[in-house]
Parts: sequence; C-alpha cells; structure tokens
Amino acid sequence: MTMVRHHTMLNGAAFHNVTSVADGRQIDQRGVTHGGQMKENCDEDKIEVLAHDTVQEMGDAKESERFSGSTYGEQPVGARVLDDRFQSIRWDNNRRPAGANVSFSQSFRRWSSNFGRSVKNNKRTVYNKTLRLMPSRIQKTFSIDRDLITTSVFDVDHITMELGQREQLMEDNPVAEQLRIEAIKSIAQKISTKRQIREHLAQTVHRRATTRAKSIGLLRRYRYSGRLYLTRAAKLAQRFVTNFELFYGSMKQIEGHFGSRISAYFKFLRRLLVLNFVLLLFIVSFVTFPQLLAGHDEAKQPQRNCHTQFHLSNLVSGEGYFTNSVMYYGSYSNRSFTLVPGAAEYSLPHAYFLTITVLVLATFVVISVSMGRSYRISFIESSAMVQNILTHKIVCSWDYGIANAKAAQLKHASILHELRAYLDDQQQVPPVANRWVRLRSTALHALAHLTVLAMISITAATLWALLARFDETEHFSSWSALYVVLISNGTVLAFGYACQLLSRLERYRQVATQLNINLLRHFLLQATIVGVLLAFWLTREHPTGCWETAIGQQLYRLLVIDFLISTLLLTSLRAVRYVLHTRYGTIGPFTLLTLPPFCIETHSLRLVYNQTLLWFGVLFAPLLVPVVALKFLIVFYVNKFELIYLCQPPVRLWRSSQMQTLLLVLVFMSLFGVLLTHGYIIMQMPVSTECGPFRGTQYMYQLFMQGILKLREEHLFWRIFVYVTKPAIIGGVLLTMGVAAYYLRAKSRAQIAKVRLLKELLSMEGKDKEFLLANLSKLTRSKDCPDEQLKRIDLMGAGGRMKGELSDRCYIDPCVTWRYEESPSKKRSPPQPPPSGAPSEVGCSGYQRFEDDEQLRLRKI
Amino acid sequence: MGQVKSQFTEDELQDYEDLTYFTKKEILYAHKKFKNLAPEKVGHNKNAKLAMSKVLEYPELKANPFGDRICKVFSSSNDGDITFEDFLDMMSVFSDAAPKSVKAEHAFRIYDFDGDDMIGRNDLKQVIQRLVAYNSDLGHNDIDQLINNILEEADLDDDGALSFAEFEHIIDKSSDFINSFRIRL
Repeated sequence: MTMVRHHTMLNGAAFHNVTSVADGRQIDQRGVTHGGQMKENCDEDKIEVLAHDTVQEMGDAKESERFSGSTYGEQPVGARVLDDRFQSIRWDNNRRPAGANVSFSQSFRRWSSNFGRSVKNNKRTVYNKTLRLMPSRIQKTFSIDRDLITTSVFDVDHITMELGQREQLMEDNPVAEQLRIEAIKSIAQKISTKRQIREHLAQTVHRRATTRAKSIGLLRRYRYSGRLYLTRAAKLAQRFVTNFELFYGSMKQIEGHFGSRISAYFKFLRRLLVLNFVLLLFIVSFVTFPQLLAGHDEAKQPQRNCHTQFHLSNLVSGEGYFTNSVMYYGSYSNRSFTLVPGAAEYSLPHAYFLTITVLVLATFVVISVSMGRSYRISFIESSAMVQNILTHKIVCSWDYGIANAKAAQLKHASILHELRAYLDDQQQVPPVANRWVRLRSTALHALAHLTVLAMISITAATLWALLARFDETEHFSSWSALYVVLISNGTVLAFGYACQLLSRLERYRQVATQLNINLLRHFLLQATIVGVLLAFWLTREHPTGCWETAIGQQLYRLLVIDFLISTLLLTSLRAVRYVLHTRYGTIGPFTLLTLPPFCIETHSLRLVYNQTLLWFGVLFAPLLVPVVALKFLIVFYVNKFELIYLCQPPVRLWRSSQMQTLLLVLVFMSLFGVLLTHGYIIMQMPVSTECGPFRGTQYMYQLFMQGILKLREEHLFWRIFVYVTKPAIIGGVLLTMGVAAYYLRAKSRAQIAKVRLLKELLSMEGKDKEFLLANLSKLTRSKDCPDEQLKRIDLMGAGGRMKGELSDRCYIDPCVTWRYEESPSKKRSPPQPPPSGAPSEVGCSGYQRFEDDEQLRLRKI
Repeated sequence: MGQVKSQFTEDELQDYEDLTYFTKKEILYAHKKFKNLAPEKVGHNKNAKLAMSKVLEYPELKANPFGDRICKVFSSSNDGDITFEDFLDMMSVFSDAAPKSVKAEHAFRIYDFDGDDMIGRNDLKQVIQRLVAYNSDLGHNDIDQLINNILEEADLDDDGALSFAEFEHIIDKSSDFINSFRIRL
C-alpha cells in the first residue's frame, strides 16, 4: 500500500528535479550523453549509445508506455521501476533519513560512477565492472512508515532496470541470451533474486521483441547459431575438463589438511604429470607405434641378440632386454615404409626428429608463456602494493579451504606469529645505518655465497674425477649411474644441512629472501650435477656402438635409482622414524627424534631435476617419458602419504602464487639449458654410424634440412634462414628484448611513483573536504538554524564522515521526519548545504565515495 | 556422483546451472554434500532449511573462524539458516570458476560485521580477533596499532573505514586472494 501512495505522489517534474538533487552526477551524465548523441558513433563504442538509451528511459517519464505492457505482481512495471527512483525522491521530499535509503543512494551513485567508467573502458569489462557494483550489498530490511519491506524486491526491480538498459543484453537472440546469463551470474545476489531478475528480463526481452519485430537475415541467423554452437562446445569442453580433474579427492584432502600453499607443490607435480602424459601420447603415436608396426631391421647387428632374455635386473639397469627395444634411440629404423599398402610412405627418421623437436619446443613455449603470466600476476601486478602488506595479511590470510581443526589451529598460530612479528618489527627502533654493521653483514653474505659456490665447484670436480675413474673399468662404467646417484643424493642431503647452517648465520631479515636464496642454491647444485654428467657423456670418446643408446641407458638408470633412493628409501626411513617417534617418543634418546618437516624445496627441486633429465633424454630414449610419468604418479601418492602421516607441515612458507612462479622459473631455466644442449647435439655431434634413425647422415639436422625442406644452398628460404641465424641478428633480437624489458620495467616503476603521488593527492583532497565542511557548518550556524540541528551539523562537520551511530539515532528518532516536513522551503536548494544532519551526511559521504571511485580509477589506469 | 535417483528435474538443474558457476554434475554433487549434513531432513524435502548450527558442521565452515558470518551472508532469511539454494550459492561463490569480483564482493560482506557497507574499526577488530582465535597474546593495544596501520595503508580517503572501493583495490592487487578464498566442493 505504500507503493501505491508513492505512485500517486509521483509526477514527472518532481522526478527530474529530485533526481538531479539526489545525484548531481546524473546531470553530467545526461549532458555528456546528449552530446554523444550528436555523434552517434555506435560502432565504435556501443556504451555511449546505451547511455543515451538510459537517459531517455529514465528522464522521460512519459515513455513508460514501454513498460506498461507487462505486469509485475499487480502493478505495471513502469510504476515499479519509477518507484525505485521514488525512494530517492521521497528521501528528498520528506527529508527523512533511513538506513536503506542511504545505501540506495550510495549504490546508485556507485553504479553511475561505474557507468561513467564503463564508457571509457572496453565493452567486456562493462559487465564485469558494473553489474556487480549495483545495489547488491543492501541486505538490510528497512521501514517505510513503520512497514517492514525487505529490500530484495526493491533490488530485483532496480537491477532489472539497469540490465534492461543494456541494449546488447536485451536483444532477442541466442548470443544476447548467453550474455544475459553471464551477466546475471556475475551479480552478487541470491539465487532466488537472480531467478526473478532473469524472468523479468526474459519478459522484457520478449515484449520488446514483439514490438520491434523484424525478421532476422539469413546471414545473421547463421552467425548466431554458429556462436551458439561455439559457446555450447566450450561449455561441454569445460564440463569434460572439470569431470576429469586429476586427483580431485587427493587435492581436496591436502588442501583441507594443509592449506593452499602446500597444495601448490602438488599442483606443480600434477602439472608436470599431465605434461608428460601429453608427451607420451604424441611420442607413442608418432614414433613408437609406427616403429613397432614396421618391425625390426633385418640388417641390424645380430650380436646383441643373446641378451634379449628378459631379466629382472634389467628393470634397474635398463640394459639387456631393453637395449634393442623401442626404448632407446638405437633400435629405431632409418627406413621409410608404407603402413597401409598404397598409401604414402612414412619416414621414421623424420617422424622421430620432428616429433621430439617440436614437442620440446612446444613445451618450452608453453612453459615460457605460463611463466610470464604467473610472473605478471604475482610479481608485477602486485608490486605496486608493497605498502599494503599488512592489509594483505589480514584480508587474504585465512585459507577458506582448510577443513580440519588441527590445520585451523596451525593457521591461527601462524597468523598470530606473523602479526606478532610485524608488530615487533614496528616497535623496534630501526637500527642506525651503521657503516660497520652494514659492511659486516654484506661481508657475511658474500662469504656465505662464496662458501656455497666453493662447495658446488668441489662437488662438480669430485664428480668429474669419479666419472673419469669409473669409465676405465667395464664394471664401473655400466653401474656408474648408481654411484653417481648415490653421490649426488648424498651431496644434496649434506648440502641441505650446510645451507641451513649457513642461513642461520646469515640472518636475512625477510623469511622469503632466505627461502629464495636457499632454493636457488639447491637448484644451482643440481644443475651443476646434471651439467657435469652431460658434459662428461658428450665429451668422452665413443669408440664403438651406439653412444646415444648408452646415454639413454645412463639416464634411465639415473631416474630409476633416484626413484628407489630418494622416494622409496627416504620415505621408508621417515616411516621408521615416525614409528620410533610414536612408540618410544618419550623415552631417553628417542625424544630427539621429532617428525621432520615436509620440505617443499627439496621435493620440488627433485621434480625439476627429474624433468630436466627427461627432457634431455627424450632425444635418446623416447620411452623415458612413460617411465617418468609413472614415477611421478607414484611420487604423488608417496608424497601425499608422507605429508599426511609421516611429516610435520612446514612452518615457513612462500606465498603460494609466488612459489608457483618460482618453480616455473626454475623449470624454464632448466628447459632452456636442455634446449641449448639439444641444439649443440643436433648441430655438432656426429651421430653413430651403425644404429638409430639417423644413420647415414653425419649430423641430425642434415636429415631435416635436406630431406624435409629439400633445400639447396641457393634457395631463397635457405638464404633467409642462414641470414636470420647469423649472430648479429640474434644478438640484435636479444638486445631489443632487453631494451623492451628495461622499458617495461621503467614504466612499471613510473606507475608506482604515480600511484604514490595520487595517493598523496587523495589524502590532500580529503583534508580539503574536511576543511570545507567545517566552514560550511560555520556558515549555516550563523543562519537561522534550530539548536538541535546545529548540534548535528557540528558533529558531522567535525568529522566530515559518516558515523554509524549518528545515522542510527536519526533513523530511530521519529521527530526528525516531522521536522523536515516543517521546513520545506529549504529543501530544493542544492548549492546550499542541507540544513539537517542526516541527509547532508548522506550527500557528503556519497559525494566523497564517488570521488574515491574516480581516484581509484585513475590509479588503475 | 549421481547414482542415486535424482531429486531434481532436468529443468531445475538447467536453471541452477544458468544461475551459478556449476555444471549439472557439480550441482548434484553439491546436493549430496548438503544432504550429508542432515540426511533425513533433506531426503524428505530437498529444499529443507537447515539451522546455522547444522550447516556449520560442514568441515570447511567448521574450521573457518568466519563460518557464522558466511552463513549469515548467504542465508536468504538473513538469520544464518541455509537452504539448498543458499548452499549452492555459497559453493558457487567459493568455487574456482567464480571471478575475483564476485568473490571480493562476498568477502567484503563477510568482513563487514555491522552491515553498514564499510569495514570500520570495529569490523577490523573482530576480523583480527577471529583470525588469531581470540588469543590473548595480542592485546588491545596491539590490535589498535594493527588497525591504525591497516587504515594508514588502505584507507585512501582517510575516513576511518574501508569502503568497498578501497577493499576491492586491495583485493585486485593481491595474487593470493583468489587462491585462499576458495572451497573445493
């Protein structure tokens, strides 16, 4: 019944007037958009046209005939829609403050400012940016004349109207429908509300379609159906992907127990696993399967046939039965054959070469892109917010995925610890920048770095010496992998302890720095070990036989033995430790046996190490891929078991997104190294003459160059190729990239500086505002103001901000309303400050709010 | 996931699929989870309204210091009681597919305890206290200092509270928010 009363009180003139009072911004908008109407540049920016449409619908009350056709409840929609406006009218007419009205006008202002923003932005963000900022956060119930009305009805109408003003959404075609669904999804509202909105919109669309009925052209219909199928296919694919998320249950369990930071490691593992499965698919279908179909070469040297009996030890050594299997490079044929009679020939060497090179290159591209993206998201985009560290700690600290009381306790403790550390840091007087202190710490760091480097080079030298030694005797050379693995694993373990000790000495201020440095050191060590191995294998003499197969076997042994030692052996050691801890944890010497923390650094570095070996070895042993994939699969479960049962969750952690980026960077670096090595092998290493798909040529690349492209020296393409690969050109490209990176960095720095400036500006403006408000209140005090109102203005002028208690007080106080109506002459004077506390407050805080939006938008640019 | 005979018609599922970030299968799965909270009640009426205490038995909400706030924010009756639609809504917002903006909006509401559309000092105080589980190790003075520092950092217009724009600004730059504000179904 209140609605009806509003309706009768409504008239167009009042509407115009009051809207402009309520929202000065709206006037501007109107002016602007009428200007825009002259241009009518619809194709370039549809939003502008939409804005024009908005104004027409809102400003022209007579146009409500558009709405009058349908009904909502018992009232015409037009009336309902205008009722929304009417809330603000009433607010002004009656000078009656009410909490919900406050938030309505705020949200309206928020919407309109966003609307202004949307004109500048591109089309896509309109939906993202505006819809969710509509009056979605008005959840309170409010009263009009003592009748409780929930806001949801009010919201539905309001949002429907806003949506209805977007022409793109309201067209009667499948594409617009899709957009509509997306838009409705992105409204932060309850499902029932969304459903109502959708129904209203559908009605409106239907009505408009019937009034503006015109037949759709054939072409357009095809376009629509095409896009519809496309979105449907995308949806289907998405459903398919979500159905097959690997290890869904495990990931949930891990996240529930330990939070998202640890699950970042498992996500990384899963990523590598998926990558390896893709590699496997291609390699098997293009290389191994054709080879199996073609069968063995008869011409192959038969002297190894005695080894073809399968033996269990072959699984570890990778020799014997495997030597002549499709596992290794050596057994692939260099023939071309026809798989299906009558069809074209299938050239295995080309397939081998192309598949592996293209796969490695594609992986490289994929990893570089994802690394770049991850880096951008976690470092560049958040770099401007260095000053917001504490706020992050508060706002983003709780991991909503935690589903376990113990994990929750741990999280509480770690948050407390972090806050405590922050506070201590704040209270501590920053140490005077003593030159000696600084010099000492720098010297200490340098010393530590030097020690680590020395350790690494000693390791490398020892490894080389050992390898050279092993190579002399037959027994050692075939089992050298075992020793190498033992040595490298042992070194890594010892190195880890040494690094811990060093980092305790170094005392970095930031935990993150310490973790990063530790990770880098470990990575350096592993890279050195791999580098030494590769260098040794590639430089030694290859008197007879297939050196490619030999390298493949070495790599196989490395991988398998690494699995046996670092995964199975270490885990069972941990299990023993766990049993000892739980059984005899309270007795004498066993109290020292606490559960070890789950060390994410070593685990993830091990993955990187394995993956590096795989990428390197895929050229020599294509079927290393399933071996590694299987290994990772087992490692996943073993690690999960270890994490849940045998280890303590680590206390110090990276931020999860940063950690992902770091790991990706490491993978990128190792893959880059592998690429360089591959390039060297392909271009410079003479292939063995008796085996493998490339026998008959001297270098691998020659086959590719001559065979596939059929290029001759004088061919244009060849000349271009040679020209492009000249060092000067490559150097130039690298230089350009460097310059570009420098430019981007400078730009981002400039933006940080700009943000700082703007922030200063903003706070200055806030001060200005306070000053002005204080002056205004003084002015009004000097005029004829009742005492009580004066007090209120005082309150408000002093703060210049909205206070919850105050508005509540006005809201509860019934005589406030009455007083406003008593003095109606003042209410239509927008430039004057409103004479009573609450409405002016609304205006002020709203105005302020809009300014914020504007500034924030500037900051974002 | 849906081996038991479904309580939903195809149309209803389509409807939910259009309104949330879930696929049909996930919706059924969500309903299964919802049913697990109160098997007999939900088995009887699929849209049964569960009391907040019941919903808080959901593991993720139980462990969450803001569990009751989440229930209140998503409850359609505003008292913390949750129907299946509310539950679905909640899970949809917390799902991976939901964009950052939707998540930010809801996070803002969760942290806005008094519902005045601003995160004021009292709200921040509650947030901090809940985050450290009311540990007395963090005294009032400490909390006050934390709040002051937060406002100094994030309150761009110096009005003593964080507005949504300011909150969103923080969230926008944070790469971790989207990782942490997420519940796997």
